[in-house]
Amino acid sequence: MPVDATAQSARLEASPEVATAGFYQLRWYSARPVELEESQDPEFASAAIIYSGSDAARVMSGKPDGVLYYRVRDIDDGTFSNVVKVTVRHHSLVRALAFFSLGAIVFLATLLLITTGARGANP
Amino acid sequence: MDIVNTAILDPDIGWSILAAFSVLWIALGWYWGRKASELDDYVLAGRRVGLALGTATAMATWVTSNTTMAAPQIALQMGVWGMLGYSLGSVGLFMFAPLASRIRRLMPGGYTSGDFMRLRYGRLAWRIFLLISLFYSLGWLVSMGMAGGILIHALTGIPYHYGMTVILAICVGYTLLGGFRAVIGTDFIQALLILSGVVVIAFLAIRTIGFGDIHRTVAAQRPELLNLLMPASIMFLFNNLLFGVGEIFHSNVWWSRAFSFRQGVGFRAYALAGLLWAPIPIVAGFIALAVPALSLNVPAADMVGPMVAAEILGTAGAVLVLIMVFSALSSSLDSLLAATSILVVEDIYRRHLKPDASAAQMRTATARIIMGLGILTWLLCAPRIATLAELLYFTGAFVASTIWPIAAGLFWRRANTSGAITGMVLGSAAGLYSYFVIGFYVAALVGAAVSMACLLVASMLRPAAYDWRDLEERHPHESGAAT
Repeated sequence: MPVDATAQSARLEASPEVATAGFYQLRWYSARPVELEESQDPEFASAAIIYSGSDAARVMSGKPDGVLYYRVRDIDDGTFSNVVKVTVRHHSLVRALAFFSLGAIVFLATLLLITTGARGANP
Repeated sequence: MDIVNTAILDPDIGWSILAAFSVLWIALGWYWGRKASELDDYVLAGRRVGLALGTATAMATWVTSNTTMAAPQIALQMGVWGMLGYSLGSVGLFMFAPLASRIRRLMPGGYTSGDFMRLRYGRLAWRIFLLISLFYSLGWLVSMGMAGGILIHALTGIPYHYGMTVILAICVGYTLLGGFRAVIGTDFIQALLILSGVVVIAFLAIRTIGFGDIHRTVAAQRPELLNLLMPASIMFLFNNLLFGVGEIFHSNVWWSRAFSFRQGVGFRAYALAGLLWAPIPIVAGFIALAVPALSLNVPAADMVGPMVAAEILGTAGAVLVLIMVFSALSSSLDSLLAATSILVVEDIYRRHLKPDASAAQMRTATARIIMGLGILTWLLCAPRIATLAELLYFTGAFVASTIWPIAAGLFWRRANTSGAITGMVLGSAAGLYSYFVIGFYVAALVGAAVSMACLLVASMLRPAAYDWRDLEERHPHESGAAT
């Protein structure tokens, strides 16, 4: 059966579209089973089928920095959804370590407050 | 909203389990609650809870549906550091141990964390704290209700709204019947169910799939989950630690336990509970890493725990998971309902509306507030506005801002009122801002840091000289108190 690439069946969404922690959810609206394709190329010249079935969403995670494109194909009639683009752009390590250090300072200060207070404070 | 069309359990099985549990839990609630006559009995189990039950209730309350569902979610999203970071929530239990001891000593007649804030810092600080506390309690209640709906939908395909409604109705009913004594009594059973369930599932996951396959498939399909330098997960570590500390330090769920334990039990109970709880989210989180090896589709991150367990164990395992997570949910929902109702009755009803309320009126008000909270929670659960972790860490911006006002209020007589107030307000605002601008995994950390800075600066500029004896206040309805 010829594939009509211009007709759209399901509607596909990604949330968020810029993933700063490497995870995002793909959600499609279709009454029928679909195949979910992932590609680094917006034309899907080389694409991988990462899901096939009746569910209506998929969580992606652990992705490295980069740009990925997704679409779903109706298994019954072969029609494709819209294409969504997801940009994975992790926070910088400098920012991460800055927050880590801040958290460590707050934690240690709180610990110090409690331990010295428990030893010295009397009603 | 209903995104699972390939559930492992038949809906009829799901309904049967829910029905059986409903009958059991409500019967237990009636049995344990029938002897509670004094207000102290109803709301604080007579202040006589011993070490074994004390430890079990602390641990079981901290093992919530969030441990069994949000921990795997965090592992799926944040990887190895997310899994370990979640277990840092046990630090809050450890750190509360000395606080529990101090609270019991300074406030022998105390009822709520609100009582402490009012006596320590005055009425304005107390009202701000109440807002934060009620907001957090509501957020937690909503996360529990949502988790019930999500769990049942993930395993049986029963629509989200039905499962959510049933969970809330059961827990409201059982809390109404039994009060706090019933809450603590069933915690012991629920703790055993949860512990055994998690251990069995993790053991079978390793035996069925194997570490090698789990590692290989995660490395191939979701490589950043194994990256120890993944920035978001590094940011998450202390955020989760401080979130847990803030949750425990401020929440009346924990203060009510401190007041209910026998003298000398609190410190050991909380320390032991922290030790017992710490491995649970690691085990629960590990389960999520099996997703690639199983070629399992996870439609929403907060579904991953029950879905993986069901996939590995088959139908029997899905039943086990349903029972286990249902237990976790109900053990925490009922605690939260009971403790939140105490806070509302004491700090809003009696302190603001009816200062001369009799004990009977207080009990009636408590029951009505439990009902009202159940209805409000249902209304907020219905639209399913976020995933479990996103909702939970939203409240982190607020609760973490109370860490220093409370800890400093208990141990540092120089901590002053303006420091506490600006700390809570500016800490919450800063935490909220960072939640939306950076991510849910930094909100609590920012809230705690800003709050600490405000309190320290204010208290060093104008130190207070608080008299600890001002915390000794007897409740008018306590046995032996003058009326």
